[in-house]
Amino acid sequence: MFRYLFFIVMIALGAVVGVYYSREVNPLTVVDAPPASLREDYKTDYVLMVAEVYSLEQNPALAARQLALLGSDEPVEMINTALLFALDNNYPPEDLVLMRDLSLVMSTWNPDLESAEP
Amino acid sequence: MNNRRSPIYLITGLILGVALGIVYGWIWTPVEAIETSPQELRSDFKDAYRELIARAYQANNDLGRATRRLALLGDDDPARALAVQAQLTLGEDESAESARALGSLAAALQNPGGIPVSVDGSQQTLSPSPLVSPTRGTQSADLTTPTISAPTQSSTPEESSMAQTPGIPEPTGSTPTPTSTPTPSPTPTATQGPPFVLVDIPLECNPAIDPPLIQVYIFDGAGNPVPGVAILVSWDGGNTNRFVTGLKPEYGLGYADFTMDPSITYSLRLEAGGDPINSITGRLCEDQDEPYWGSWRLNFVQP
Repeated sequence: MFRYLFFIVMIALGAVVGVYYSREVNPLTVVDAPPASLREDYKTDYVLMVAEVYSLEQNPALAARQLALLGSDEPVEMINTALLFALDNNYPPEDLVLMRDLSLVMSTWNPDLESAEP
Repeated sequence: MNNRRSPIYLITGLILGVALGIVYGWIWTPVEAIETSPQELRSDFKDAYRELIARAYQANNDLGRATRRLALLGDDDPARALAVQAQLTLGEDESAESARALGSLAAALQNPGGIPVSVDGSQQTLSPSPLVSPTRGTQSADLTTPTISAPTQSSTPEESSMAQTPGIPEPTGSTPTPTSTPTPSPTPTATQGPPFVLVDIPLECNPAIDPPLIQVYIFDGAGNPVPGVAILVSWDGGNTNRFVTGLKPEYGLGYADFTMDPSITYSLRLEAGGDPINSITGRLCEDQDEPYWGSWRLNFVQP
């Protein structure tokens, strides 16, 4: 009877060792990740880059396409999330203004109206 | 008898448990891709990220910021990665703006002290970004009435924790291959036209350049190579191709080339303006035992 008990205990012990090895010692490496999985500071910098490009090109459709890589959320939601992160982390004022301006534009931008134009 | 049985069953149980644990950790519940870095992005997303960095550089002219952002992608040679992507973008007939942005940033990395030059050859004036003091501390982030404050040279917090600026390669500015026996005054006729003028078209006789090329070198008034200048080449049947200087920074920032078929007659002009240079066709070099096709070198200078 004790033999079965010891056998199960050893399986459990081995499972703990196996999980530790697979998660801590030799975890799977993340490759081919999508932009939506980026850490929040990288996402914020991505949004900042989109805002910088928008400040030059004034093209909301291009900004929307660039932001679409970050996920399926509404562009204005992504920008506001980035803006809050930037505020909390003391980004330079000029960067905040760029993102604020992009947020204002994207909050009123309607892709359907744009595509309907001749 | 049973009491003296070997404990091998315990080892078997341990091995079985380890196997189950690894299967659980690697297959059943693999690591979810969260909080990744740009370096871990899929290659096409990396390309999009790299293009965005280049476009943002065009907007802010902040080479330090662009360099730090490029470092996040983990490219061995960021300038080369930019140049290669610019060429691929042109080759796939994608946005010329994207290719120009990528090429300009590649050139800027090669020549960090250079003055940005626009496509029409005029030097850009770098104007500082608006510096304002926004209202903080609320989630509504009322930034509508900024006030002017003293300029600062701060950067975003996460950028300050990013990798240090990688070593920027020295500009080369050399010709792709050594040349020999240039033959002056070839068939094509010279063209005048702002903002660059054609000064000469020597024939480059180098058997190593095979197939022959139409090589274009563009310099500003101070003799510095000018990247980002678009060149249009056309030939019979209405075929056209567009290439841009600076996409092969290893040959110089003002360099661009086009592989020519010696049996075809080409016409070339700068996209920024000027009359076309006609009758560019193959010409044999005979400085060796067997003749071979030479490459045309077109030198443009800003007057």
